[in-house]
Amino acid sequence: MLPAMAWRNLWRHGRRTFITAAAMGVSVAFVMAMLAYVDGMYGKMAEIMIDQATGHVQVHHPDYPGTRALDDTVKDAGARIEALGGLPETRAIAPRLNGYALLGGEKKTSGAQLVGVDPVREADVLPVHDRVKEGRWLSPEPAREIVLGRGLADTLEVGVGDQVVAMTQAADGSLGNDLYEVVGISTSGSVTLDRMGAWLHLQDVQSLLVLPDQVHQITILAPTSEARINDPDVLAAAAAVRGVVGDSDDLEILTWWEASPQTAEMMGMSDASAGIMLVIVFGVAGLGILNTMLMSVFERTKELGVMKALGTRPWAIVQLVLWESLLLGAMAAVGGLALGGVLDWLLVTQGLSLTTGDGEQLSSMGVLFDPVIYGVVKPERIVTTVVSLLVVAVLAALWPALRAARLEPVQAMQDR
Amino acid sequence: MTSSPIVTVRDLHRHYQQGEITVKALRGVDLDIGRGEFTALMGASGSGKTTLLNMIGGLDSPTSGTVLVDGQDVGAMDRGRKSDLRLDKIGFVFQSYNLIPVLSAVENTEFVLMLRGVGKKERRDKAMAVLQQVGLGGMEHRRPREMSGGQQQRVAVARAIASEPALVLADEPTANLDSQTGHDLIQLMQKLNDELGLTFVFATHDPKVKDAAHRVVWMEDGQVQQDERK
Repeated sequence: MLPAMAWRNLWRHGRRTFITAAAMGVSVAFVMAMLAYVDGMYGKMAEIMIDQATGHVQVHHPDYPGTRALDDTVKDAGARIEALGGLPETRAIAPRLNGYALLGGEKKTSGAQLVGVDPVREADVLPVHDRVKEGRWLSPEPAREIVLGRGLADTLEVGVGDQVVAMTQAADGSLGNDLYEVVGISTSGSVTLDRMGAWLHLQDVQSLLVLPDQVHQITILAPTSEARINDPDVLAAAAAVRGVVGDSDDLEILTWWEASPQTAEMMGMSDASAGIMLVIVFGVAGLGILNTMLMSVFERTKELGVMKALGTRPWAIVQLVLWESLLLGAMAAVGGLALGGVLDWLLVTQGLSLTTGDGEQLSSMGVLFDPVIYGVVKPERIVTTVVSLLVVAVLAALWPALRAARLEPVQAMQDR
Repeated sequence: MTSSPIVTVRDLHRHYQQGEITVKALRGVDLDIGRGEFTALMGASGSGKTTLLNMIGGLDSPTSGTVLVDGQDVGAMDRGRKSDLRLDKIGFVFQSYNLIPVLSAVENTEFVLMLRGVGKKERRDKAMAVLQQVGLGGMEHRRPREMSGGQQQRVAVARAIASEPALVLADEPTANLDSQTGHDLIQLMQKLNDELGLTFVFATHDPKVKDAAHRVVWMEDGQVQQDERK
């Protein structure tokens, strides 16, 4: 009977109940939308970093992350990549050889970060249509082709079909230089790579730098789409890779969160910002509930006194008030889920534009965002949001409930 | 009535502090109420009859003296035990009905049974039967706002007797009713007293209640002045 009484009590002041529930529901919807947006944004950042820098698992020379030295390489790269190829725990395996060179177009020159890639394997990491916005991707076989980052191409004042010269010091101390045809312009999402990146066939870079059958890193993707620390898929992939290539003095196998602690920290910020948002929004919602429930208890002092006079135990009065608040919270949750669902759907399907007024894209932590950020809906976030709301509803009603339970029947019944 | 008293009051005092003034609402009341009695506490406003009723009902605590209800010392009880006493032994009828507005007549009637843990079907059957008994058959599902004052007070009586209490305390039950409705209500309670042997104690100004009562206890300045038995 108590839940039924609580429900009817809520509708004694229907407008007040509706306004409070609506405010709480809007809070739920706002939190859901913000979480989907933040998860989409951080997920995108992590995705770009994982795809273009760290991979889920990375094999490299133990000294390479610290020195970035040309000759700190993974030797016998071809055989090792071949051995890794059949692992069911992996989705993509891409060797990369990095170097710096001076690139020259017809009129301008610029420093560039060369990335030697296996064009076919690299396309498994990041689909070509996501990478090349103009022209085409590299041919499967080495053909002295180059894909330039958008910013670099602009600096060099070259376009698709033009030729550029690369000059660099090779690993053996000789001067390496060669001529390449620009076949594509890339917008990778990484600020550094878009400004300085140049992708070439792995063998072309190995030849330029005189590093035959060597790479700086083997980037491995696990069959997971989430950037989650301690993801079991990533751990399984790392274990499988370790099983094939083994740990040795000239190799180091790291997961992405080990290889890039700053990326891991960034993902932690996503959880922290979610927590802060929940505390702020539901803190305010809690005050709203507290106010509503206090008013409700004040108005019913006489009635509550009668209930106590009839023999209602204090705990039953507490239960009644908590039921009212819980039902209020549940109504808000239903409304909030409906509205939040619509907002989430819009964020997932339509996204939200991040372009600034002057049309510039926004960048954060070295990642250049697509103009539109798409939301990512995580069921556990929604569950946390709804449970938080209900917990806040109960906690906020505790004080009014205890106050009601402590009423003295005689004094309460004299209330007008 | 010759059986052991349901209520025993001995040297009961109740003092209130109002600022610096001590109000002596009860000043040494001695009273026994037998089982099955139909007793009216009469007296002017401020004579102490409602205070005495509250003491018997465990709604207030004595400053000194003893109140025994069915042999249990009400003054020595903590809040929880007083609550249980009211639930198990006492039915209340208040001046302004004091029904729970969100509950229908039958739900108000079964409320106390619910508090006592009686099963849903059993308490509903009982409440329906009691409403029939007080002449409200067919109005079981009306909310208080859909009923007249007299009808609401009948629901209050039904609520008070549904759990078959040892004692029904009624504080000015007819004060808010017109003459005829008040008369009907007194007749109803008389009938319940006669047929079920329920003990009724009224605090009242109403001469109709006085006329109907088996016993009239006159109070003045917090003391029993006269105890008339008919």
